Amino acid sequence: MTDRKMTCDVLVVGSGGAGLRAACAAAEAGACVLLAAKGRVDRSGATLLAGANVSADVMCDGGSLWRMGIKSADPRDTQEQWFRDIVHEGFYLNRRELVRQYVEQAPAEVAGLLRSGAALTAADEGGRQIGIPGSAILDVLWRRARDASVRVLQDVTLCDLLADGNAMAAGALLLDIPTGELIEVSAGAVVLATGGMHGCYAFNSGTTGLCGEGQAAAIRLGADMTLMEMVTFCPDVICAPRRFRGNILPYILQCIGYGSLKNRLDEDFLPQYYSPSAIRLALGSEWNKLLLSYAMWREAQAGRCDENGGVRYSLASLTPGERAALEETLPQLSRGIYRDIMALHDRQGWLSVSAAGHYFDGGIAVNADMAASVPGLFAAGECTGGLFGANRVAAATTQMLVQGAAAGKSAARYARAAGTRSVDPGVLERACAEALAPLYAPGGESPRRVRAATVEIVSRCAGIVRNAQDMTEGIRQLDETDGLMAAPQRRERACNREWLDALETRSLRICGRAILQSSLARCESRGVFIRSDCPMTDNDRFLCETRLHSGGVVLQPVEQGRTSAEPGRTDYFEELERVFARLSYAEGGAVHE
Amino acid sequence: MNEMRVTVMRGSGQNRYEAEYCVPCTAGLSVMDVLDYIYENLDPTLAYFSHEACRQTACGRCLVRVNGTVRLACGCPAEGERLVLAPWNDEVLRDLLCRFPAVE
Repeated sequence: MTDRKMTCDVLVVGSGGAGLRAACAAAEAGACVLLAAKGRVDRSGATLLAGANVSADVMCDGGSLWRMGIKSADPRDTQEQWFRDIVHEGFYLNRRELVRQYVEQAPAEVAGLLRSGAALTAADEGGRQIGIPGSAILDVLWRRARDASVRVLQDVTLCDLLADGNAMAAGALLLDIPTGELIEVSAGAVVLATGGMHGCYAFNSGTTGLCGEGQAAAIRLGADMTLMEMVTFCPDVICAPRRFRGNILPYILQCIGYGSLKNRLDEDFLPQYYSPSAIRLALGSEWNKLLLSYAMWREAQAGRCDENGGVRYSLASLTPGERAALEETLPQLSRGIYRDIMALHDRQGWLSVSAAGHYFDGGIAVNADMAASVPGLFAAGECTGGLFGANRVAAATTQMLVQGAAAGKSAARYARAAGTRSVDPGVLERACAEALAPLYAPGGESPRRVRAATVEIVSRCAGIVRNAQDMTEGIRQLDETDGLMAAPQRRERACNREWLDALETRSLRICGRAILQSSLARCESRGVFIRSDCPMTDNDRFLCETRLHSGGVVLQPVEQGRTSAEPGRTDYFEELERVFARLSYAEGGAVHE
Repeated sequence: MNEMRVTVMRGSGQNRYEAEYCVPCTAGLSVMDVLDYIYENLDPTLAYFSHEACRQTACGRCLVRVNGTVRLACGCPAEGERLVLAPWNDEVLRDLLCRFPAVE
């Protein structure tokens, strides 16, 4: 049925930071580890593009950083304070055991990076973070994985998870993209680390391979998902010209204090939506993602965006001294693609930017062992949900390291206890048949067109601001595309991009549908989630996770513990204001329209 | 609108041939964008590196010979009236897709 069979104790799917870190941890715990990378093992996934591969923030509480010798850190900061900020700014939907693990394990992971000798960038402002290029993090992790004898498959994609006779995860079916071979992997435990569902959005900041294969396979296997409606958009992403589309450099520059935004009419539009203190706060923290994306959406609705659908990001108001300081801080700006982007900016006076699908706060539901609801299945990093609740305000790089380490360790322990299990032949047969189905379709649509239709529906109905009518219609339309048989023109297996498009579209449709279903169940606005038809934040009814379970969404109360929300319903923007006023690192301020 | 004539060296092994495409010439396209245009609009059987591409010159995997010089497709501007694209080395899997170096 398959072309190759492999066995291992722990299979790790995904080779960004979370997957590499999980592979290291499992191998160092004595497991025989197989790591499946969709691209090059040390250059796959969103980690590479974190901080535009110029300067990615890696976070830890300030006190711990200070003790590691980082003098820009805030020595008075504590893990307890950081915990409270993450929960508070996550609008109280965070799964507390995951936040606890995150703040407690962050120092060890950051210290590990520092010990490895990875060069820090100069852009590490702020009391809780250091800056490292994404590729440097991958280099460190890959060296470590190689030293721990992790075996690697490159250029493979996940078709399906495979279960044993007891419906426990027992391996996976992989597709070797260049050869077209199907590979059956039997494993004692599987760690999913497949990153975000960027491909669901026509405009996104991820690599081309991020299509939610892990999330979709988990759903097909019967694993629970949580908070799938929470999607973070990154506001200052280059939208034109096409050559630079998806690059987040303007956002990175804005985060370190450079540049301004104007609409097509050359108006400074932020004051229309927010107070001066909120703007100051919004521009200087992770809050900028939510606040700027919303303002840009409003500008687009009002017809004040340019022909690319963007607003203008500009460094034109910098003095020559400020510009020189920027170039000194980020020497990468004078090289390669960034030199070209800066040259375009200087020629035009601005860059056309818009809000792109950027980070997925929801995903596979896990506990602090990183165990999913299906035995034998573990997950780490962006493909999981719950750590950041309704709004990610702390680093996803730290998430991938902390959760990767925990998942690898748990999976190794689980595999040792469970032993090798055999894949249910019926399950394998079904998975192979579904993977190969497009190649044997008697006729049908172009896979590229089915994919484009799917992405268009999700992008339109699950954007920055949503409403029930569009989402209900969106689900219906997605189910219609499910009936379209995607049929590649060429039927050979090797190097067949249309076939891969058909398989990826299946994942995108499953993930997009889950996003829409969960969004419909949350009849309120909270954090990054805004509904025009439900503009209230409702702490009485929705201090709940939306849990996708057996095809339906159930609301499950989130354990509040000592860090809890005030009861009642408030206007979304008033609620933002209250959250701002309580930020530990803020001067306080008001948000209003 | 101006058009760009694009010649792509296709096939593999003994069966190699040149294919010609006309691509609308808009400002700010990379060679990767031109290949995407061909795949999406003219010929969905074209093979080139696209399955886990960063598109931002960071992963280093989309190497293509552009008018005789090896470049990253995503970082190389598509300029001029004529573009000749060929595999970057001799180990051709199919079309512009070459065997990837083994894990180091």
